[in-house]
Amino acid sequence: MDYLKRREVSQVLTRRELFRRGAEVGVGGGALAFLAAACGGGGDTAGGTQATGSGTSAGAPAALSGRLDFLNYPNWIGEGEYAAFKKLHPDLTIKEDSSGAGSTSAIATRIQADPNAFDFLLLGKAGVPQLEASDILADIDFAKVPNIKNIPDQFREAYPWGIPTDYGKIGFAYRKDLVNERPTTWKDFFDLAPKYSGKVILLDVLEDTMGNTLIMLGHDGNTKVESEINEARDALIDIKPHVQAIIATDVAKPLINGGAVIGMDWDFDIALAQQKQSNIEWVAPQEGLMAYIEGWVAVNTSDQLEAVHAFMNFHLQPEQYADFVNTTGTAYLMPSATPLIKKEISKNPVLAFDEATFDRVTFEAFKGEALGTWTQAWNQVKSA
Amino acid sequence: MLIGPTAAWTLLFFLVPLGIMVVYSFGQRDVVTFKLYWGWTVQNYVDIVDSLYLNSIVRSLLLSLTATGLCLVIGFPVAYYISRQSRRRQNLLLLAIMVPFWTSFLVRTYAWVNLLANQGLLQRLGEKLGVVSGALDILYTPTAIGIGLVYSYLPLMVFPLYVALERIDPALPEAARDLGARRHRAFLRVTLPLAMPGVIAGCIIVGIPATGEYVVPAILGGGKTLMYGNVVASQFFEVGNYPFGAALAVSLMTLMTVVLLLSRRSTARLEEVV
Repeated sequence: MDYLKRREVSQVLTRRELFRRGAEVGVGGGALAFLAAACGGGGDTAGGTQATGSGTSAGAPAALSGRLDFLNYPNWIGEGEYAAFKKLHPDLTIKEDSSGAGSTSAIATRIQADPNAFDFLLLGKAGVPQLEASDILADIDFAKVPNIKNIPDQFREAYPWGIPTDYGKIGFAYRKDLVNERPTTWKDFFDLAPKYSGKVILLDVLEDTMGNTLIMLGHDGNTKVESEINEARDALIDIKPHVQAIIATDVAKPLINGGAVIGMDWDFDIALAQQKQSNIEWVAPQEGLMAYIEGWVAVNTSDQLEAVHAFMNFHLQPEQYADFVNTTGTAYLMPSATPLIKKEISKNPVLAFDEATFDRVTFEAFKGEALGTWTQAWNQVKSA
Repeated sequence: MLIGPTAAWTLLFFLVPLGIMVVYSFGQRDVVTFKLYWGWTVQNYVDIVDSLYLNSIVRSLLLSLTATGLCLVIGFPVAYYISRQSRRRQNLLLLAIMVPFWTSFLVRTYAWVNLLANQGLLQRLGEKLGVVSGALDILYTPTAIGIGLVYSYLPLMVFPLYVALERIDPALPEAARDLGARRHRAFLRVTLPLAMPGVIAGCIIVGIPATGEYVVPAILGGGKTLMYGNVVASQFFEVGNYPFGAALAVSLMTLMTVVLLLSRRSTARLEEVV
């Protein structure tokens, strides 16, 4: 049974490797995720098949009806969450769209073309300001989302536009049976690349790979200073001859099979890889590390903002939030949900909340006009 | 009247989208607000003249040429063999070539990751046969991209070649041999010239999409080989600079159209000779 449960989480995470991070920011991953989703993703998932039975704890809700359109990653919701919400509001249907809207620009374009396309959506911190600048976001009335109190202030401050739902760190991992050294910093990572030439993996996500390189160089991981961006570019070009691949899907696979011995990766991916290969060691580098934070934001053209607020509040009930975390296997933001979360997640040192590591984290942020410089530099790395 | 549906189809699904893309390529987009400005500027085309983009075009053309050449070398004997079989067997063999198309292109490309990876099926098979010792180190290299392109586009080379070869009267090469030509000479002087329309058609059908190929380099190249298709995708999917992405796409399309026109002229000349 435990195996089946783990397998279930593993499958979700494997799909996530393909869709979620790449869908937001990856140079290659974004379009690939779109293609992959077009091949098999998407569709309506209005209503799950299992109710958790915990949804009624919020008290008597106001009657809501109609339809909520929700842009989400595939399977990125608690398995019983829709059904439990439906019990509270039988006349309200949630239509989930996970057909791979792709990057923030693709989402914005879609909403600009069809203002009624979505009522609310899942989006990372790096992308939200773009929608804000495009005047697409609705203000959230947090008085209608009292369960926001369950989210610690540091996450609310990092994601003020809506409700933060999950976050993740981008560090590196190595095979302790194949690497003699015990690297603890980004400098170690870069210094070891020549020794383990051809066995080094980089993430195909410019915000993360460039950001972590900037941190190693002592700069802000979201810098807009061209000279600093170019410095990071040059550092990456220097180690590129030793890099086996710059990928956004199946990132941990070479580490698992030994084809690579050290690689930059997301924490959730390494947590999953460690289930398959116990010699994989996770490192949250001492200089600091990039992280993403995601959440739900509402669209200002929605005529269902009451329902959006209600569902946001519902999602932040510890029982529902735990269902979400247990289904997806994500690193979580709500300490009060810990007793309800599977131990393989809550006790996992890679995923568990750690104040010391959190202090070193730099959240991906919108680059504004500097996005062009970042992309140009990243393309130069890839074409070098 | 009969041409109506075809014309409507072409207009709606080909010319109109193409027109939109061309119009877009002269616009500008604010990457912060995503607002589009119609200044009818040629700046997007000026920006393409950058070593980053020019190198990616050259890289894509070289890889496409290599893949097309390999498809031709592998596809010609296959098509020739099929064309010389009984009708029933021909159908079976053609069906066998088509079968992979029933599976998603993306899935087939990902399957190659498992085949080419170190400790993958290919390496283990090679080790069993005693022809491989140690890691293959093919995955995430230009070689892997080449293999992926040849695998993906080979059927598109075989079909036009088969059509051309199947139309050749077997009596013609036989007559050449009766007149004293050796087997390879009969092939070079009779069969090959007669098959040239198929060769050119195959090269066009393979070469043009292979030049703009995005999925295969992204998956099998390990993100280390920046191809033109990846640059275009990056502008659309990540930066959100649709006008510049459109300008890149229009430029490649113009280049390919020139190649197409030149090849059509060659085909027409060949058909006159034949």
